[in-house]
Amino acid sequence: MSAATTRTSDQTTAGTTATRRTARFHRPGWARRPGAAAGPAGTPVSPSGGEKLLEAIGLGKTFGNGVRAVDDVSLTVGRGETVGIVGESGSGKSTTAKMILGLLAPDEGDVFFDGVPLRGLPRARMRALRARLQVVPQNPQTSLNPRLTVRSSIEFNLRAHGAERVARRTIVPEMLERVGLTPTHAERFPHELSGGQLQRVAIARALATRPDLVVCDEAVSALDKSVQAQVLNLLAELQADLGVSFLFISHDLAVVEHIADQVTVMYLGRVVEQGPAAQLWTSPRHEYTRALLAATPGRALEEAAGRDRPMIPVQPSGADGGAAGSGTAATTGQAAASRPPG
Amino acid sequence: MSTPHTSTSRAPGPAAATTAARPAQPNVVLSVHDLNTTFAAGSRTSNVVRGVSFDLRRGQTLMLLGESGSGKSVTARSIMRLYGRNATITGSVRLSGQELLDLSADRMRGVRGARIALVPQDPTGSLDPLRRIGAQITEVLALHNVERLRRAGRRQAEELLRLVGINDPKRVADSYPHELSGGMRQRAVIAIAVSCDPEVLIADEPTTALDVTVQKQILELFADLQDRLGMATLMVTHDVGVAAEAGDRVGVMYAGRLVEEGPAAQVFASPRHPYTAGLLAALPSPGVPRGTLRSIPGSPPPAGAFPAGCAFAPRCPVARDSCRTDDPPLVAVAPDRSVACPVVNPASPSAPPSTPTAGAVDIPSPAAPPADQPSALSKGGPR
Repeated sequence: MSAATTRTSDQTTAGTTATRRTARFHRPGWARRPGAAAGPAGTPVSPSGGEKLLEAIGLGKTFGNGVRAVDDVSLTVGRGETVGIVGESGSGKSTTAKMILGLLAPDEGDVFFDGVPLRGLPRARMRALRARLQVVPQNPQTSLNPRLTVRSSIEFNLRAHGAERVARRTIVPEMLERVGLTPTHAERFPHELSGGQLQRVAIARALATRPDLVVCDEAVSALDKSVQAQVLNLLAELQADLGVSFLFISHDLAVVEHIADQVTVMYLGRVVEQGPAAQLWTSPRHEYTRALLAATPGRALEEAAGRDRPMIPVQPSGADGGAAGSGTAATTGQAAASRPPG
Repeated sequence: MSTPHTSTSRAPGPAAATTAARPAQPNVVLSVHDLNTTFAAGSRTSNVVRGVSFDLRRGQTLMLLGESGSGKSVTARSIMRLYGRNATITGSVRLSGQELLDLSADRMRGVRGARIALVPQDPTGSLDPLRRIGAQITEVLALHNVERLRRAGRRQAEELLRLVGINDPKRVADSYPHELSGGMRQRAVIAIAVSCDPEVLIADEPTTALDVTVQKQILELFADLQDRLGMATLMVTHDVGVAAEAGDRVGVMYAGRLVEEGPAAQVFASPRHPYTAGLLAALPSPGVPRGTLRSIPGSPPPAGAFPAGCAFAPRCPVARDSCRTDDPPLVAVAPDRSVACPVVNPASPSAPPSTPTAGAVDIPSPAAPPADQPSALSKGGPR
């Protein structure tokens, strides 16, 4: 990939961050992580002006059945920043997340984490890097082992990243308090906790290794709305305190608009729009983004409540302009998109 | 299989007063009164629906809005008596005046699908993967109209598919479920549901499994079918946006009880019950800075394990001591609106007379302007 060679300068970001990291993680027995090659370089910046933490360039993935799941997707996550990916099912947002997490090798393109290309990274180094690159999956009911206590689940992750016993014993209660639970929750089993509490445990588990980036894949989608707000507030608070970056994947536009600094809108494996969250909401440029906004229920709700959200002009695109039960829409099973975006 | 039930055998519960106070409405197709559903598991029982009462009129959509464990789906399914021997359903469910809870299992089978139809959440799970769509529609027709010939049934199946917005009904009728998209499958399920021209359509989270753009189309289809067929719709949802968009009326459920009921526009413009107000305030919306969402502390109680008194009291910002012991009844607070909260509703017998006039709940909420106000909200919202 030519993109890889042009971006080699990104591999030299670690200088100052390495110092900050060691300070932040200085604990007896804490595994030392291989940082990126030292030496300050030009200061790569993310779109919002921050220091670049993660960069994905021209990612592409075609599955065995010929499905082009992801096509030329590039995005950047700055340090301490939240980037949202919005899209409907089949838009490739989860496949993109897997490639960013190093769980799936891209066919084209490269992912750079703190300047280090994930492609061809030796297993041991990838494993070490995963401590800094964590994930909060959608459903804590299935992502937490029902036969392990909360403590064991969190310790499992810590142990995998080389934290020693003493460190583990202190980190678990600390993390539980951090996410709004109490140390007594450590001895509970998943079935004893509510959905919101479980997702807090999943967040505590991810944050236990002090990651730089946490990928939240539909992390609040399964929660009741009254609880979802608590978890969204928690994520914002954790980011303010710890400086962690989030890559926040969701199908819920309102949630992404709320939590993200930058938003990437995906459709059929491609990026159709990228920009600051607020701007995307008030002045979407791509037809698909507009259709998505128009289809999001709750606009009536806000009108009922008398809030002033700028009215978004809706372009009749594909099914959108059609009457109820319009057949064109039905046959594709998709709304706005009888034609590829671009 | 017969569902054990006793009709109106209970002493009138708190909700009884409400319905009695409400004059009989014209065009009421479905009248639910003091509905209680209790599940038994061994020696334990859990009362999941507790004294739910509402009327549903012809051509109207009532949204049952609630979080997980609120009893909204169980309410809907209890109306159709879809539970087995482990469920005890009491109260009264009248369909055009006929008591459904008294019907024999056989006669109930004749009502289900013909006069009350169900659209379940997951179209994939509710269609038979091994049979073509057309055959699955004609099956229902045959079940309720034995004399109908097979060929006529096939023609009718295609007509029904056209009715639900499918352009090429011949192809779809010949397709297996896996050959169709999620939106198309849900249309097929809706075609089956409306095939016998039911008086009441019950839709249990009909769009939850769908993408938002497809969801919008399906909600439009429901509105369109209602206009054309004049049926009444009871739709269950956890999505406040969907309830606001597609409901004429909304019933907010919490812990097995209806806590607030009224015209959707009014309820969302000026929620009265602290739970409704809190739920609306908790939604992320533009202009709310990150990290400052007004969440409701705690989480909803699991189904059947409801605290004594008002089940919302432990999470409620305006709860009084009496709320923890007395379960407030659903009381009319305005023509056509009722709320189960003595704090916001001084007319309630359990509230002290000195309570100042209740406007909106005292929760700082962008979603709760002080009083009812004319609203641009209309069914379906602007398109």
